[in-house]
Amino acid sequence: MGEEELKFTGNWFIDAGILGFVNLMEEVYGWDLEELQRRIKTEPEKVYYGYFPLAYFYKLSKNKKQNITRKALQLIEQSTERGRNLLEKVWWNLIVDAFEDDWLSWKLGKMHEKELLDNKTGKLKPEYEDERYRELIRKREDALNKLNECEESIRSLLGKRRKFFENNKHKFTLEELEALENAISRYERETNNCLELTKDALDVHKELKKYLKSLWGEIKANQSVLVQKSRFFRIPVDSGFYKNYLFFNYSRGILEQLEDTWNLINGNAEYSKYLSKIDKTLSKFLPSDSEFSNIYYTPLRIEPLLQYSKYIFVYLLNFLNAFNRVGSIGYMFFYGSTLEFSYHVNKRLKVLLTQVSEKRSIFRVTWQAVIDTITEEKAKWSLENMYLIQFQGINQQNLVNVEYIGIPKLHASVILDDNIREALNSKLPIKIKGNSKSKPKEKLKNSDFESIWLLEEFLRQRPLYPLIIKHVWNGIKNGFLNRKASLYALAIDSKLRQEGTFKAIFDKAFFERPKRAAVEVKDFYKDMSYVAMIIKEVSSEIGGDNLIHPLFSALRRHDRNAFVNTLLKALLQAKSKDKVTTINNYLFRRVLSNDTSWEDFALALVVGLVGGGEDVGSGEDVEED
Amino acid sequence: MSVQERMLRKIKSLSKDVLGKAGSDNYRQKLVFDLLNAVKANDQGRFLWILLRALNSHSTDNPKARNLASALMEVFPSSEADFEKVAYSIILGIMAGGGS
Repeated sequence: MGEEELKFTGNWFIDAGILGFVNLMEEVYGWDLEELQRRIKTEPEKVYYGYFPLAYFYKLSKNKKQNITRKALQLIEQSTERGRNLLEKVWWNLIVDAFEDDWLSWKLGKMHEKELLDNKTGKLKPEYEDERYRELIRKREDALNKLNECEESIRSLLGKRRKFFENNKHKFTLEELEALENAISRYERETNNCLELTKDALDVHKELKKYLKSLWGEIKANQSVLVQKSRFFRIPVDSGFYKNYLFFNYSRGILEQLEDTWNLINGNAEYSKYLSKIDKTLSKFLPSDSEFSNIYYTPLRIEPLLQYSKYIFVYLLNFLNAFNRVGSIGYMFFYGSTLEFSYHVNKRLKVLLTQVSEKRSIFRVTWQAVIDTITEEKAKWSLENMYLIQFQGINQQNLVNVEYIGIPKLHASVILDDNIREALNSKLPIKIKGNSKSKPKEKLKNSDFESIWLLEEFLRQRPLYPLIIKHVWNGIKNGFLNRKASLYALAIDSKLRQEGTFKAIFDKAFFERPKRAAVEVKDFYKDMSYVAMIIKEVSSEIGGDNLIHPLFSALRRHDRNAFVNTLLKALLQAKSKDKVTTINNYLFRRVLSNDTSWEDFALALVVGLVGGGEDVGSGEDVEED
Repeated sequence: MSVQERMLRKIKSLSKDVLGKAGSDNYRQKLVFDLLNAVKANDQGRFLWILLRALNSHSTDNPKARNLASALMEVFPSSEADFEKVAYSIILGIMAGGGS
């Protein structure tokens, strides 16, 4: 029977896991979301009990064997097993194979016998419980200790100046031993005492390696190990995030790890205390049940959730895979309202984030990805409820600095409009850079100005009017004015100012606001744009160039009286009476009768007089705030 | 209580009807100019004096002039902010009357 498609649940930590699961499968098998959904629908058992465990462990392995995933696709594709049998097949054939090099490195990396022993009892630790192994480790250690008198020759062979011996005991690492093996191959025909001693030590190392390889080969062939050998053959996996979680726990041997994996995928909540509660044990972002018993959901059990999402543990385990690593900043994950939308945004983010090095640009880049996705996917309705979840690093058991960055529904609805978004997605110059001040005006380029990204300012919920007034001032002085973006920004600013005075919060009109917002912004824009055009047309009749500074100055002083008075006096001289009537009507409706946002509409008139991209500086001195 | 937008519309409309066509273009231009100066100085007394003089000389037999006068009685004297609104509504009304 087919499984239901993957979809978000509304719980962000589970949803992060679902996206992490999708990311993992894409990273290992190259399947995009669509392909994964198709496979989940047609062959869910193969996905969850076959492909998933291999992908998960494969990602954890340090030495990635290239052909494993190809082998996995073939083996699982042809497999007729289901559930536990399929998992066991994958475990013994693929996972064990994938970890061969990691396991060998772990075992070979124990350079001294005492590392294998329990400090208190002096007996072998369970994970090294093999007499032959111990014997070979000791033998290799002795042979390496004998190289003490050859330290200089070792240094020249390895090209290192460090001390390799202390108190007659060697301090070689596995990497150095392997490097020595390569270096000495050049001296095969030469003989001297040091070379002989080195070759002897390396022979023991080879013997040890061969022995361990044969052991690993046996478990692959037998597809099992003796219970007492389980710890010796533990799959070496570790996680800073899930430190003691089931198979990451150092006390779990290969058989227990298999059992843990099975119960986890199978959603057996009773199997372990780790799987029973919705608290810190499941995800580090959640509070602990014992420390925060007053939080309503910590005492809840996970059992009921399994009825809705059988593979919830699979997702929770993939939590970290949802996050993108960003240089020195930390990890981040974009969380939107649907899996598809979040998947596409995060995919774009991954590429864009490689170019980011400072925290400030993350917001910008995220939104660029969101905007690109909206434009391409037409997933407009997805824009509600978005968060940017960041954490700096995993400090033992605790997460540091988790930030939620959301935007209000009203803002979301405004930028869902293509025209408005396009206009806001502009960089506006607001100030000439210090080193460009001496440049002649006609040679100034965009790069000579400090700019703001209008969309960012809007999303950060900052008032736009002060920015536009700076942009207009820059336009007056230097001739760079984006008329459309300025007018849209003023229209939005006006709309948001009006919203700030909205008092009735529980009536129908309140809930209809987001729907109406974009329409009203566009109405305001149309009005502003029209009157800006008209005033530009009568500019020559009313001495528009000389009006710009006094009008601008009145706006700076928030002096509506001076603004209207100056403009009306100028309009008295105009011959195009119908155009004057249009401006006067606008003044009455939008400036005089509007106490909350008259400045936005008044500035639109100045924008009209300044025009777009024209050099309008008159040399009159109006001080910048 | 501040002057309602409805009242401002009424004053603007009445001003247009009463003084929008009064006298020549030059006369109206001079009238508006004087009124603008009075508002700029926030001089309510001077504003009313100029306005009433204009009403007296041009619209004594117009019933709308009486309506305008009674509307003005409702809003004057007023706060500085309200005065501006009322005054500019009157000025815009007068200017609208001369339009095509």
